[in-house]
Amino acid sequence: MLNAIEAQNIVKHYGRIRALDDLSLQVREQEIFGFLGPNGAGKSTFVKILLNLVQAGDGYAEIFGEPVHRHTTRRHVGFLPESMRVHKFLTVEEFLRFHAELFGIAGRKIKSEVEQALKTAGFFDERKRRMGTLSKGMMQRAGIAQAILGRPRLLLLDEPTSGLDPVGIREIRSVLLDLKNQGTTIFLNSHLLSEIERTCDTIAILNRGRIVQSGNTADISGKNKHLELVVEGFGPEIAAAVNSVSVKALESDGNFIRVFLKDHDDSLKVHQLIQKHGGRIISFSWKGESLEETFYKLVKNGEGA
Amino acid sequence: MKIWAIAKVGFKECLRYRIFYFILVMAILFIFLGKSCTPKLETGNTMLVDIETQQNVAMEAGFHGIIFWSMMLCGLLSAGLLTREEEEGTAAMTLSRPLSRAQFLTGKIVSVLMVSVFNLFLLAGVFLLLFYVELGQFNPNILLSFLVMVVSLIVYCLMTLFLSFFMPRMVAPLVSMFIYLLNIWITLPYHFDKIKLIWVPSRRVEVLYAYLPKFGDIQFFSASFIAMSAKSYDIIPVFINFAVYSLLFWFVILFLFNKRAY
Repeated sequence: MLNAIEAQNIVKHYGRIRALDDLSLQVREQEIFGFLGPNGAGKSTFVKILLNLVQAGDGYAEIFGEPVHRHTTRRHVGFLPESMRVHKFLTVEEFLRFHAELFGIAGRKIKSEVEQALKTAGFFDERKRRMGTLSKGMMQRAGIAQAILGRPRLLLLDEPTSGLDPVGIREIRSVLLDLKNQGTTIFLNSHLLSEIERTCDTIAILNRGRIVQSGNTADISGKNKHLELVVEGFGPEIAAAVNSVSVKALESDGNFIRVFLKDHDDSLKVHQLIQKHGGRIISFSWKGESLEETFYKLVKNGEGA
Repeated sequence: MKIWAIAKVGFKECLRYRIFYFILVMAILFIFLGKSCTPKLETGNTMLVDIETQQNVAMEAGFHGIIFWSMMLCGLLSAGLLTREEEEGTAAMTLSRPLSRAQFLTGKIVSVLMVSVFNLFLLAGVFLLLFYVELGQFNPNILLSFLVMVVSLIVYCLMTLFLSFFMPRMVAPLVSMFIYLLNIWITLPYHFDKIKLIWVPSRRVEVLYAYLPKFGDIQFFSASFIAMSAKSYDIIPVFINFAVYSLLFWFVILFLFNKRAY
């Protein structure tokens, strides 16, 4: 299967600042790809390179096998910027018609495509409003309608849920999952880690222009899995017994203990050892590092850099 | 279709600028000024200059006034054509669509020309109407004069856009206007024999006349239709000059625009 996005060794400087440093990534077709990073990490620069709004200093990027510098490549792409800058005097409908024409949708199909996009984004009733009168959330919906016009194969979405209320966020999440099921590849730039965790199949974390972590969402957000227990009668004896099967010394806080095991099967041994040494297990659960924790570690502590 | 879509939106946008209405009003005032200089037929017998000459002078004054204000409008719109899009951030959204930068640029230029030509012909209509009411006759050649001036607007738009890449938005139309007026001025001795009697062009003036865009030539050529006594002009070199400048400005603008990051 063709990669939706293929980027190799992308370098971009703004003066002395290295915005992207030898960045390589692949986004498979029909997946939702989460692109994470702190402010100034280079996320938007990368998206702009994909749209040829900015030219890379070195390296190359392709969308569905076509180089990004060719304007025809963008016929596959729908784009929602973080903050939409639009001609405020246009109505929502006129704005979408304008973008439909730019997208190259045939004249006779424009009306139906615009209506379809408005309905999908849940914005059909507001189509006669002027863009300048829309709230941030409404603007975001209009932007999403604009991005999905013409059913592009790839959606580049920069903070798509920004400014939306919880109901709106849920609706947009559902729209994105529907689009994915219909075969659309979605590249999601977001700070909302919980949203990324819920929606994305694959994640890349960018820091200072470099990818510091990438892979399957479950793998990244479930890193450093450990057992969390509350044990009545916990003492040095139990600690010594449990440490004999764990990969590193357990962490404890009163009756609460955290055990790091090599694999899931060892949890039964821990259970037996605690009971053997007179402890009583009150609660027992497997925990993994949340995406937020992983992100924080990588970005704040510079891990993986 | 993509170019037309950009041009339509650009046209609507330009019509929302106050400067469009300000210049329209100023130009209409000039037309009235020109009209007030037109002598009444019954008073003609006592004048030093014959009535027909006086009417032609009044009409040409109105014509040149309209052209001046149209150029001013075209320059102001052209100078902000890209910078305004960049400042407001709308260019990035448009350019993220499958269209080339040349298409985007063409659409934007067409929008400015549509507004400038609309303004020009609106004023031409007022001009014709006023002189028809005054003189009771309709001179269709006036429309031809304005039509020829569209060529001048195209070059003027490209020149101002070209200058806007190298200087602030408010300075570019002033520099354009200076070049335009300078060109009109140095063209005078080449078109009016009586002026040539008192002003023999120096070598420097000759060089400027030869190498600057020939706004003066085209304007005096256009104005000659109004007088109903058009001199025979060798207009081909003027059009060649305009074609060369248009292509030069276009390719430099496109080259610079392609380098821009959004």
